[in-house]
Amino acid sequence: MQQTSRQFKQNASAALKDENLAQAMAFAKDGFIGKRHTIVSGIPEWQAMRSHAQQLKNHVLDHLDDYLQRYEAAVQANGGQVHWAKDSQEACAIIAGLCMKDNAHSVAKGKSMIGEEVDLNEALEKAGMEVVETDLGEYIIQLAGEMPSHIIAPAIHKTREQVSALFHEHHRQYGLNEKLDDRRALVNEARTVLREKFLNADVGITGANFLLADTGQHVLITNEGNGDLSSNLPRRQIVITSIEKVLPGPEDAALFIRLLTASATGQQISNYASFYSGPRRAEDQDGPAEYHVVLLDNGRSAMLGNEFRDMLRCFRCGACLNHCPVYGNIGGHAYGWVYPGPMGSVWTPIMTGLDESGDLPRACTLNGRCAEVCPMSIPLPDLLREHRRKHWQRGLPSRGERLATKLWAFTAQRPRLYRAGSALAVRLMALLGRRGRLRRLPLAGGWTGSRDLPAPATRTFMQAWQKTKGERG
Amino acid sequence: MSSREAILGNIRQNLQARLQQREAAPRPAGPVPLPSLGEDLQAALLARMDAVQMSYERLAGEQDVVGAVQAFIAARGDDATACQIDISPQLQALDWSALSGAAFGPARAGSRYGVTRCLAAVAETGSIVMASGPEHAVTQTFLPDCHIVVLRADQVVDRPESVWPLVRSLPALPRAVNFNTGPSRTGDIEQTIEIGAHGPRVMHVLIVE
Repeated sequence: MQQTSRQFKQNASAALKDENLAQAMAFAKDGFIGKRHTIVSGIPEWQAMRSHAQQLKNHVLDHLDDYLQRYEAAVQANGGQVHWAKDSQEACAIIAGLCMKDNAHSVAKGKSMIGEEVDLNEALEKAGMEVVETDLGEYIIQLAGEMPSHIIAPAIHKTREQVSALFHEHHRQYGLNEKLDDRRALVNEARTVLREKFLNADVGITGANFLLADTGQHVLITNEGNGDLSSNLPRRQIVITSIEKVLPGPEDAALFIRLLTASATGQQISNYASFYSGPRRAEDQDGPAEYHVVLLDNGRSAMLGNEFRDMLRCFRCGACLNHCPVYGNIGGHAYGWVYPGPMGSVWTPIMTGLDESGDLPRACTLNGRCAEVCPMSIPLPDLLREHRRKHWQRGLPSRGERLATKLWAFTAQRPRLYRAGSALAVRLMALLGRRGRLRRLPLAGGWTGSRDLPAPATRTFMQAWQKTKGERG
Repeated sequence: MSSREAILGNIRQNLQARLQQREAAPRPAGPVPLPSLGEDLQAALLARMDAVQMSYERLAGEQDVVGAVQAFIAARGDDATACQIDISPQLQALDWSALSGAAFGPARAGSRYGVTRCLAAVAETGSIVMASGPEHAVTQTFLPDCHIVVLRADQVVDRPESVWPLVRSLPALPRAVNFNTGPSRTGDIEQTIEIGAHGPRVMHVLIVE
């Protein structure tokens, strides 16, 4: 799908005026934050668990070549195949090739952010495959022809009425004539229609939350069970995943699952935590005849050696999105690519370039909530600042902005000038203010265009401080 | 050069540059610090199962399993002689003749009930753990509307970590090890939980003392 990060500002303005979005995001805000808080505040060991996981992941990343080779050997020992893909095109070509073997034509797909990253559905449809997303949220946005707007709740931006309208429009072919109003009826409708797709699919494609080097298993964490139906019913199983997801063994996965599900949905464990390895064994009663893993790099190996390395610890829980005040107001689509919010504002410029997405890391208040809730202790604000630094160095900000920043830097380095200037500005602004508000301000139209600016106090902080000190003696 | 070699080469090159500046991170020592579970594992398990909308009942012995399944099906308003019941071959030794809709083997499309054994139950999470094999089909736990599990009281373990020694003691690594924790659910419409997305709508555990 076409990236629109370049129009971030226009996207964000439009999002702020979208009433459906505001309604849908209101449901999201409290739910995710409250559920996470309830579980995390009940675990006194949370920080220690977090630090253990961070160390373990750093260890694996420092030996990533060893772990990946061990993983590959274990997959092969289980009878599976590993395919390495340098970039999106290669991953899509490998998977399209695997899908089209022996006249297969239908794919039941589980939710995969790597699948979104490489735009797999489009590639498979071009190859003539019928691809059905089976996670309810992904299915909804597939019907709507949109990108996910949240990494674990792809249709978070849709209201129930919008889902109802989509089903009404697209399910007529399955005999649905009335408009379904309540949630349960909508969930049942999707269950019924998608059940047929599962049973008739030739190929099942899912992502993986973790890959285990000791056993060659991949771990799949879901609540709906769609990923498991995709993994067990079709005759060919394909896992699309990326190189940084490897962990040593299943015992280590237990810790990571705790951190992931608590941070993502406030659950102790998701409904389904499944460990799959290889195709069906000779004596097995069910399972796919073939098992393929496609391991994507797409710029990750280069990150091992640069300043964005910490980002490779990210396991896509979505907590940073849920706690970001910017994301909470504009939703995911404004970011213009598959990864939104704080983690997306770090990933998107790495993968698509600062020219394309330089505004993303700049749309951040650096309030630090994302880093505080990140279960893998990723210093997201630092990484966003790193992007800003590069953005500045490459001369990408506008001339006006560069001039203003230079002017500010000049005065900020000269305390007397700075104090005099700010005292003057404060007095002027206080004079301009009406009932403590400023309705218009030269050079600040971007702010005052949509809301008033609080008028400042008549003194600067430094002046107030000097006075307090004087009074205290 | 193959993509495999190119990717591994790039990883090594980037790691080398980095590891010139500092030592490779060691594997963290010592056990993972975890919240305590209390003494009574079965009580912890039951509390977790309640929390995730699993139902359960206690049976005195294996001889009560078939009767309990029959009663459960009747209580849900289904006819145990007519509806489709898929029973795991692990349970074939019991006398199922009263349930004429029963078949032994992988679940079929339209399956109403799946009845299986399990490998373990995890007190920390309330999970029922199953391993695929000649006597356990994975589809039985995902396709039916209701999944009924027979759990022996001595199969309760404390934490997910404790499941893996049991898995390693099996003759070979099973294709699938599933931790199932309650009926299938989704929060994808209005972020409000609805039970019964794609997997079973009901998960019922028969705990055999």
